[in-house]
Amino acid sequence: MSEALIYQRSRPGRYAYTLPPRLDRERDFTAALPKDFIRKNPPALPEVSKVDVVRHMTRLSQETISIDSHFYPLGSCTMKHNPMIADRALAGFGLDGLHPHQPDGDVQGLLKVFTEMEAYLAEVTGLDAVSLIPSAGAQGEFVGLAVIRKAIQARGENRHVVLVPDTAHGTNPASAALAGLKVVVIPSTIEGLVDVDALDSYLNDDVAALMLTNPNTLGLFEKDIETIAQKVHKAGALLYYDGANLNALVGRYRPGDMGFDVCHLNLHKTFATPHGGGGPGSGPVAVRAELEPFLPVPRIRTVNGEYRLDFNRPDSIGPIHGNWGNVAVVVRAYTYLRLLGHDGLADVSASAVLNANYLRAQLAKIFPNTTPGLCMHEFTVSLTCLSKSPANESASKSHKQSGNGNGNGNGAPHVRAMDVAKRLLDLGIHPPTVYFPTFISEGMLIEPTETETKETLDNFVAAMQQIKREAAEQPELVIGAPHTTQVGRLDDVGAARNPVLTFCCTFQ
Amino acid sequence: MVFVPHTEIDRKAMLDAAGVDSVEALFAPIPSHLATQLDLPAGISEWEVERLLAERGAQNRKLSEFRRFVGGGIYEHWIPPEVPSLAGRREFMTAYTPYQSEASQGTLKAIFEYQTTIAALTGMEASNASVYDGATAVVEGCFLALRHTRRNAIAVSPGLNPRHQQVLRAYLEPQGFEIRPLEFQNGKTNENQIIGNDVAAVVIQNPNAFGIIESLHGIVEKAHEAGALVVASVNPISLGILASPGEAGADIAVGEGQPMGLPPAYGGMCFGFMACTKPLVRKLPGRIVGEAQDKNGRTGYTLTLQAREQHIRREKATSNICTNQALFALHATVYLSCMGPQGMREVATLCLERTALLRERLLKIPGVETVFDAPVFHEWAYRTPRPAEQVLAALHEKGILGGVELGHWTQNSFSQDEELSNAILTCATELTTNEDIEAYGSALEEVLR
Repeated sequence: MSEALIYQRSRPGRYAYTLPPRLDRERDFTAALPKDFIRKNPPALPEVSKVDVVRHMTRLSQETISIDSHFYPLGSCTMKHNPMIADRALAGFGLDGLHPHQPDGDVQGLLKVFTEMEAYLAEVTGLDAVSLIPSAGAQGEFVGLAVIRKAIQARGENRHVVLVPDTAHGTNPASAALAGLKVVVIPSTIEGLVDVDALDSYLNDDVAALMLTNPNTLGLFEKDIETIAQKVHKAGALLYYDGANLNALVGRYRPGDMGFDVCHLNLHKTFATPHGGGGPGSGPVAVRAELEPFLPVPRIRTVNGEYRLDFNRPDSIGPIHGNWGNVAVVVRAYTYLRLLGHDGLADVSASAVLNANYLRAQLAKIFPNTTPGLCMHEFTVSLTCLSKSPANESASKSHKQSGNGNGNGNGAPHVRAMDVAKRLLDLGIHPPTVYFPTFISEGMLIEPTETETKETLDNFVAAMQQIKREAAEQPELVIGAPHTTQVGRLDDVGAARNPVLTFCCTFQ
Repeated sequence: MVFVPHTEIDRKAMLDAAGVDSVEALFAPIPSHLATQLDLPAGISEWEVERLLAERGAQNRKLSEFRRFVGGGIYEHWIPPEVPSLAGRREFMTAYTPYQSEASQGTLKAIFEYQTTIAALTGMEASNASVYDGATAVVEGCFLALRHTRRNAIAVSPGLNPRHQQVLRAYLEPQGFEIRPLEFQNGKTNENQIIGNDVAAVVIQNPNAFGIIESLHGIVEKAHEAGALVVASVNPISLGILASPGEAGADIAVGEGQPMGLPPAYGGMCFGFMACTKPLVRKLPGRIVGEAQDKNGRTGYTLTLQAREQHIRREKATSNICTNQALFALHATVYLSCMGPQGMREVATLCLERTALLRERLLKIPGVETVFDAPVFHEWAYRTPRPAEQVLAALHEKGILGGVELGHWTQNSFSQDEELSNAILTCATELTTNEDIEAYGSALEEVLR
């Protein structure tokens, strides 16, 4: 039974709060305010009892697939287990009861954690200085690029181009635009790596930076990374590392050693903090020493053995957050890092890469268009073979009724990657990323992470095998999936054409 | 390592299947001289890490050790026990962004409810699923206006949180947009000023950074006459009694969501809310959830209007934001569901009352005077003959967090003013007691004696 919206439980006069009493029962301070200051209509918030809130929210939580409940091999998202000790350690640390306007002397324990974490992340990245403030990977990208822009201006140069491979996450070009830089897309080789020979023709006096994800979005290591770094540096530009895929390398290889100058990390990926149904994340930025002056304020410095916040940094790009970013995420990641240590971190990447390669090898037996050689922490599968399923009259008919737009013009249904994804939901697995990277046709990007057992991976392989068989024998079963969820596939086009974004309002 | 589940037998079987004889061989694509060993502490047990964090925590002085009167953008309010218990459920916490809508209806419904409550509270027609914090919500509001009007300047009230002004500058400067101050007198934005016709948005905060209640109606009229939009940054608790941005005619409402059910947490558990009028919906940044039907006519919820977003539009996206603050927005949804319209009115009334009582008490002290003589909501600025830094330090010694030092806080912003050099911004909420107020009063008397 699907849970209705909380507004549908609302009855005028119900409430679920208690508050302390008024201190002065004689005077009405609201009435003393000028009329035009006062709200005319009360906000249309739910009016519900405590039991209503508790049952409603508990049921919504049960209507949500999470890593705690399901295998979640979402490529490029690093959905690893989120250790529960981080929840407890965060509570024991007592972050909740600190205020950002308390004097620095009151928060020495927190500033010590920040200082240690900056040093640890500098070591992890092989770079020199770290800002923990960016709230997410995308904000880290903006900060990293704004730092590069400012550093280049300080040199007296006017470079305004960021090179981005065609395989890049969409966020890379969006961040470059936000940082006032122009995006130029560079081509990849057939294997999906940077075309090192073609790179020369893009490197000129306008180029501020090359932005790379390594391993790239196909799960492949840029084997020529040192040559790329040399070329970029020789051209007077900087090399930016998108840390989205650091889980493949963490504890073993470092962006700084490969020649990267600036790097952001995703603590909510590599350092196992919960994704929260969309956030909060944390996207610290690491840079080489010469770029440190440009990092966001505040910075931490030590004065007479005490940590102090330093806002007086004339070259800084400025503050980028109202306070210190997602501090709770940083403290959780600190807990994870201390728990694992250098040895544990090296195990993370080893097992992440082992799991990915095991799964890749098993799937390659079923789907010929799987990443052919060794991959890093993730790999791609192209499911084009499923569209060649034998034509089936009844399936074709039922397919037309479903109106999903599949079909090859000959009456035979195409089973597409999205169909497989939806069928996986029926089989109790959160699907991998589909249709990214975009140039893999009918592509899936699969990242199992290090925390999954061999049995879980085997179960996924069996599910994919079953779906392949179904695609051949009863394609309508796959095309019509999911069958076990509270709603079927939703009409996204209709939803966007005529958006209903709140409980009561429809927009044309 | 405890989170890696492989037995030796598993590992061997998996390596065999992958066609290599060691884990090291899996890293063959990487030049071998790049391999390194990190100089980090060795791993420790869960008990040791819990103890370590407790030790670090013990080096902080927590709010509970003080009587506190500190706001400045982050506020301490009563958090109903349902909020952390329900929003903290691990099913919510460990889910990813709900891209697979059929399997994420719980998260999607919660976001849809969040959007509905935020639209209701701000009096606007639509809301996104949250941005990073109040400061970046102001930034996103300005970018929306810049895109919509195709103009190049933003006019900012010096009553906007000074840190938010600085963040706005950091974001607008790289693209060459201009930021200029609005006229501001006696702690309030001048309602009758002329807005230039190159201005994309007027940004005004209510209650403003000095706690003063602004009337938005006049400036909205002037802005709209000039073809500019109005970005109103509002305190969500105040909206229980104060005119909403929608009622005042603002186009975009933003603000810091932390007061709605989240602890101060050193400003590290924030989210920005962002709502707008109907004509701007398709330019709103960030994730948005909409209602949709499946082929059997069942209603469900899904991420919608994705044509605005970076994974489709790349460098032409409305913003680069992807990860947001969904879990904290969920806290606010539970908070607002517990409070309802009546609770929001009541909590706002209590804040107003306590602040008035605090102000009356402190003004009885010789040497204490109000900085701006205007109605305030839950913050109020006073000055004394002594430097604010010394006064706050002396109060701190007496176990009182007296407020925010305005001279320091407003540096490098349009709010900076000689007037503020001895000024302190104090704050009272529904959690302030008579004893707190009296303790502050007598402590300040002693400090100024």
